Amino acid sequence: MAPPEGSKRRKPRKRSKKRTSQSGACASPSPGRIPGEPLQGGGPVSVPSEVEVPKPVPLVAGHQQPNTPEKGSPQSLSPKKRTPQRSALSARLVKTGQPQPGVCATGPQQPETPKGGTSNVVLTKKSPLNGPVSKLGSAKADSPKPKSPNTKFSSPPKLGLPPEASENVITLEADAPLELPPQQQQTKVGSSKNQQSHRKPNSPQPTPAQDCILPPITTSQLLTLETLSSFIPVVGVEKANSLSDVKEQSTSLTKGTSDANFITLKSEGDKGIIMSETNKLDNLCNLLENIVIQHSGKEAMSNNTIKLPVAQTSQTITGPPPVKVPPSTTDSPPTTTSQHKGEKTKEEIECERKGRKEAKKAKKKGGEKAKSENDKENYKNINVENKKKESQEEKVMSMATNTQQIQPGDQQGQLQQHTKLSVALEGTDQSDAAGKSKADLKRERREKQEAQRQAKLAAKAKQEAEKQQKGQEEAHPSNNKIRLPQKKKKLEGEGLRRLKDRKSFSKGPSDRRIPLLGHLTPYSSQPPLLPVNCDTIHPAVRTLGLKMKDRIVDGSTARVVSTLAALKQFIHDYRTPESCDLSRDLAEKLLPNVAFLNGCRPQAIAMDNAIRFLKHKINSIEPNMPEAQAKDELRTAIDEYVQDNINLGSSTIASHAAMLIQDGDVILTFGYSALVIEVVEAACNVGRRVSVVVADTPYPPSGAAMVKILSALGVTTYYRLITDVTHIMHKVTKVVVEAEAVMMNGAVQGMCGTASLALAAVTHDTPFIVLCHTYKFCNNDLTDSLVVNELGDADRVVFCPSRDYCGLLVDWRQMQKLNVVSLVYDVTPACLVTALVTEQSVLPTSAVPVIIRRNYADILGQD
Amino acid sequence: MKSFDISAFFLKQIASDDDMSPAIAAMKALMESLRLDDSTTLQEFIEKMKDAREALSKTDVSVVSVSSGCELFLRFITLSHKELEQAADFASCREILLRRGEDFIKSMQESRRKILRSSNNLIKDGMVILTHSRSRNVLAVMTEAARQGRQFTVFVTESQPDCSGHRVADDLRAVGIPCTVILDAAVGYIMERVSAVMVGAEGVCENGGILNKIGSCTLATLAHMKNKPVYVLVESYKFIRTIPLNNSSLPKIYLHRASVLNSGSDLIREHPLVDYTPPENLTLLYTDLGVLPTSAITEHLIKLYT
Repeated sequence: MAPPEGSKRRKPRKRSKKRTSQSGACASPSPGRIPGEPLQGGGPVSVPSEVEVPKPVPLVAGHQQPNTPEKGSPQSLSPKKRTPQRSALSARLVKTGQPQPGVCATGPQQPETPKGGTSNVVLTKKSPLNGPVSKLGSAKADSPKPKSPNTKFSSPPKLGLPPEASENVITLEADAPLELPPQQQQTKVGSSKNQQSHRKPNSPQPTPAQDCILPPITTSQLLTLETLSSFIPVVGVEKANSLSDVKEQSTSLTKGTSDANFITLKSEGDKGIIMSETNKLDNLCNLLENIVIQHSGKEAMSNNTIKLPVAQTSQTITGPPPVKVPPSTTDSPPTTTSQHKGEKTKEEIECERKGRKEAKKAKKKGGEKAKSENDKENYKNINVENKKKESQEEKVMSMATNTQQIQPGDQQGQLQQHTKLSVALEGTDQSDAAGKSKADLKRERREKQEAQRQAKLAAKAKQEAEKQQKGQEEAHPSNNKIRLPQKKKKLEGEGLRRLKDRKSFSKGPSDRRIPLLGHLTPYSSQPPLLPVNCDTIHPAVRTLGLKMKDRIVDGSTARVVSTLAALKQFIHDYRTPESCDLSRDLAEKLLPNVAFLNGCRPQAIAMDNAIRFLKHKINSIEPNMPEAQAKDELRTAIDEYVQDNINLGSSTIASHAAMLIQDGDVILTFGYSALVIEVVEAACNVGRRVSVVVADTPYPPSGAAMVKILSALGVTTYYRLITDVTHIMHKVTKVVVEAEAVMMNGAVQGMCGTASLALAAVTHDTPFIVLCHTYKFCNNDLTDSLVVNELGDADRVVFCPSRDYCGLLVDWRQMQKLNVVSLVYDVTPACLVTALVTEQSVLPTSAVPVIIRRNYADILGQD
Repeated sequence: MKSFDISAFFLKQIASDDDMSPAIAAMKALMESLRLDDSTTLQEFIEKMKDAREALSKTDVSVVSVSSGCELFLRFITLSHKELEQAADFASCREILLRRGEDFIKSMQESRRKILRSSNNLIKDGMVILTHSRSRNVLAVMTEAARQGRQFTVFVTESQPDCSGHRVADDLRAVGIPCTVILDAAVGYIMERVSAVMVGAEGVCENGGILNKIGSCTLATLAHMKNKPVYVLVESYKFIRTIPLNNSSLPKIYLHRASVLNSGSDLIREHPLVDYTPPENLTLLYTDLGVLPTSAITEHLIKLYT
C-alpha cells in the first residue's frame, strides 16, 4: 500500500479503495448470494415468499457480519491494549451521551440482539440510538481517528452500507485474522431470542471491538494502530464507494445503501450545513428538493411523524432543515412511505429476494436469521425509495463521494432516517434487526457528522440558525421553534468536545486546501499508514521515518546520512528470493521503503539524489554477481558516498570558504548549520578573527544551539531574530548560509528565511555566500518557492510561546478565510548569490549545470 | 639553468615587442627556461617551473594575466599525462613538453585573430565608442573596423596613473580614427553620448567578472546605469579560477606592483593597479572561444582545469 500522505493523496486512496471495493463488491456479492441464490439463478430476483418474513426485520444482519470480523481482527492483533482502549471508549461514550445504559433502559423492544439491540434502541428512542451508535462508531472510528483521518471515511460507508457492503468487507478482511466474528454472531443469535439476554451480550460485543481499536500509543503500537486504522478506513471507503458502484449494478442492496447516503445528504441539507463546501451542499439541496417534489405526495405525511422523534434525539439534527428543510423532510418520509407501498412493487420483491439471500448467507455464516430478515426488510424499504429516486440519487451519491465532508454529515441523517423508518414501520421486529453493522455505521456517521457540525457551527452557526428558522417556519413553524435551540446547544457542546478530540488526534491543516499550495503534501502529524503485518518496510527505515517525522533527524545532511545508513541496513538484511535477480528485486523492494520515508516527511532534494544514486548502483549490478559480493559492493558504495560527498566534502568546503573570509569579518548566518560552524572554525584556525551574527527564526529557534557552539569556540557571537536583520546588515561584511539544495538555474533552496537574508545582503551590497555540497545539486529549475516546497506544521506557527498572544489563533481552522501556512523552504534566485562554495571549488551559480552534467552524467542519463 | 634569469628574459621580451601581451611573454620565458632546463625527472622539472612562475609573478608588471597565463601554460603542457608516462626517459618527456609548449604559445598568439573574427560586426557605422586604458585587443578591433571602412568615433579616458589613454589616442589617430581623450572623471559626463563601451581585461574571473585597469569598474557601472552595452575583448588564457567577492577581497599581488609591495609602504596610500568589475555590469565577452556571456566563463574554466 502506498503510504497515505496528505489530503491530496486521500482522494487517490479513495479511488483505489473504490476500486478495491468494487472488486470486493463484485466478488463478495457472489459468495453472499451464492448460498441463497443458487436455486434462483438471477441474483436480484429471488423467491418472494422468503422475503416476506424478513421484511419487518431491519438491515442489521449483513452489517453485523462484516462488523464482527473487523472488530475481531483488531482484537486478535492487539489483545493487550484493551484496557486503555476501554477507558478511552468509556470516556467517549460519556461524551456521546452515555447511550448504553440509557439504551438498555429506554428500549425494551429493541434489546433482542446485542447489535440489533443498539439499532432497536435507536429506533425506539433516538437518544439511545446515539448512544449505542456512538459506542460502536467510536470503537471503530476512534481507533483510526487518532492516527489517520481515514476513519472518517470508513465510518460513513459502514453505516450506509447494505449487507453487500458488509460481505465485501468480510472478503477484504479475510486477510487479517478474524476469529471473533463467529462468536459474536452466535451471541447475537442467542440474544435475539431473548431481548434481555441480548442486552447483556451487547456489552461484550462493543467492548471487544473497542478494545481492538483503541490500543495504547507506543511507537510499536502506533504501527499496529496505523495498520488497523488503514484497514478500517479501507473497509469503510469500500462500502461507501461500493454503494455508488452497486447502484449501477441495480442490485437492491446497493439501492438501499444509496438510499442511506441519500438520506444522509438530505439530512445535511436540512441542517443547513455550513461547511466550506457550501456550494456542493447547495447543489445537493437542489437535487434533494427536486426529489422531494417528485415524491412529495407520499412523503408529506410521514415527515411529521418522523420528525418529532428525531427532534427529541438531542444529537441528531434531523429536525426541520432550514431553507432546504422541505425537501429533506420530505425525503426522509418518502422512505417510509415507499417502504409501505413498495412491498407490492417489483422492486420490493427484488429487495426481499436479496434480503433473503443475505439472510441465508448470514445463517450459514453465523446462524443469524432474525438479523438477516431485519436487514432484508430494511433493504426493501430503502430499495423502493431508491429505485424511484435512482437517477437523482446517483447524482447525489457522486456528489457525496466527491465531497468527503458531506458524507460524514449525512450519516447522522441516515441513522435518523433508518431509525424513523424502523420505528414507524417495523416496530419490535425491526428492532432486532439493527445489526452491528448498522450501529457501527451510525456511530461512524455520527462522529463524522459531529465533526462537520462543529466546523459548520463555529463558522456559520448564526447563518444556520437563520436558515433553519426560515425553513422551519416555512415547513413547520410550530415544531421548528422548539427544536432548534435544543439542537443547537447540543451540537455546539459536542462540537467543542469533538474539536478537542480532533485537534489531539487529527492533522487539522490537511483538512483545508491552501490557495496556491494545494499541490503540496499537507502536513500531517501522523506517520503514514501501514498495512497489517507489513514486512516490506525494514525496521530501520521505520524507525528513521518516525524520527524524521518528529524532527529528531532534521536537516538535509543528517537526513541523507541516516537514510543511507538505514538503507544500508536494509540491504544488509536483504535476501534475494529464489529465481529472482538481485538488482531487480532489490530495487523493487527498495521502493516501499523509500515511499514510507517520503510519507513520513516529504523527501529533501538531497535525499532524492542520494536515493537515486543508490538505485543507480543497484541497477548497475551485474545479474550474475553473487549476492554477498553485490551487497558488499552496495554497502561500500554507500560508505564511499557518505565519506566522499559529505564527510570529506564538508571539510573541503570549510577550507574553501575560510579562504573567502578575511580578518575582521562580521559574518551573518541563519539558523543552525553545522557547515557554517565548520567554516567559522576553519577561518579561526587560519588565523582570521571573525565575529558571527546568528539570525534566527522564533520557530524553530535552532540558531540558539549554533550560538552555544560558536561561543564555545571562542567566537564573538551575536544572536538576533531575522526580523532585526536590517538593523545589523550595515555592519555585516559577509553573509554565509548553507543551502538545502541548489537548482540547475543556480537558484538556491534554503530554509525559509534565507531568501530574505539574501535580499537584505544584496541591498547592502554584502557578499552572499552559499555553502553547498555538490551532491545536493538538483537537476530541476526553480524560479519560486511555491512549486517545490514542504508544508510544515502550521500549528507551531500559531502556538507562540508569548503569554500575551498565546492561543489567539488556536482555533484558526474554524476561520474559513484564514489560512495559516508554514513553509519549510524558500528559493533564493541565482542573481542574489555572490558565490557558491562547494567541495570542488568556489563557483558562481552559473557553474551548477556544468557540475551537474559532469558529476551526474551517469545517473542523470539513467533518468 | 641557474645562469638563466627568467625575470630578465621576461622583461626583455615585453620591451622588445610592444604588441606582445605580458602573458605571452611570460609563456615564452617559461619556454625558454624549459628549453634550458637540466632537470632529470619530471617532478624536478615541475618544481622548477613553479619556481619560475613565482619569479615571474614578482616582476614589476601587472601580474594578473601573467600568473593566469603561466598557470594555463604549465597546466596545458603537462596535461597529456599518458604521453608523458609512455615516454622512455625525461629527455623524450622534455621533447613532448617543448612541443606542446610551442603549440600552446602558437595557438595563444592566434587568439587575437580569433577575437577579431568573433567581433567582426561589433563596430558599426556611426558608433561612438568609449574605451579605457590601453588594450591591444581593443586597438586591433578598432583598427580592423577602420580598415573595413567603418565610420565611428572614439572617446578614450586618460587612464591615470600611467596615462596610457594618450598612447591609445595616438595609435588610433595613426589609423585615421577620430579620437578624443577625456578625463577619467569625465566618464559620467560623456556616458550619455556613448553607444558602447569597449574594454580589454587583465583577467577574467570565474563568474565572468573582469579584473582590469583601475577605473574600469567605474566605467562599467556607469554604462550599466545608462543601459550602454559593455563589451570585453579578452583572450581565454586570461581566465582565472577565482571569484572575488568584492574589490576589497582582491589579492594584493594583483593590486600592486611587486616593487610597491616590497617597499613596505602603507598600501592604503598606494593606488591600486586594477579593480574588479562584477559580471552584472558586463554585456558580452569577445574571446577566442567565441562570444560568451559572463555565465559561460565558468564552464570553460572547469573544462580547462579538470
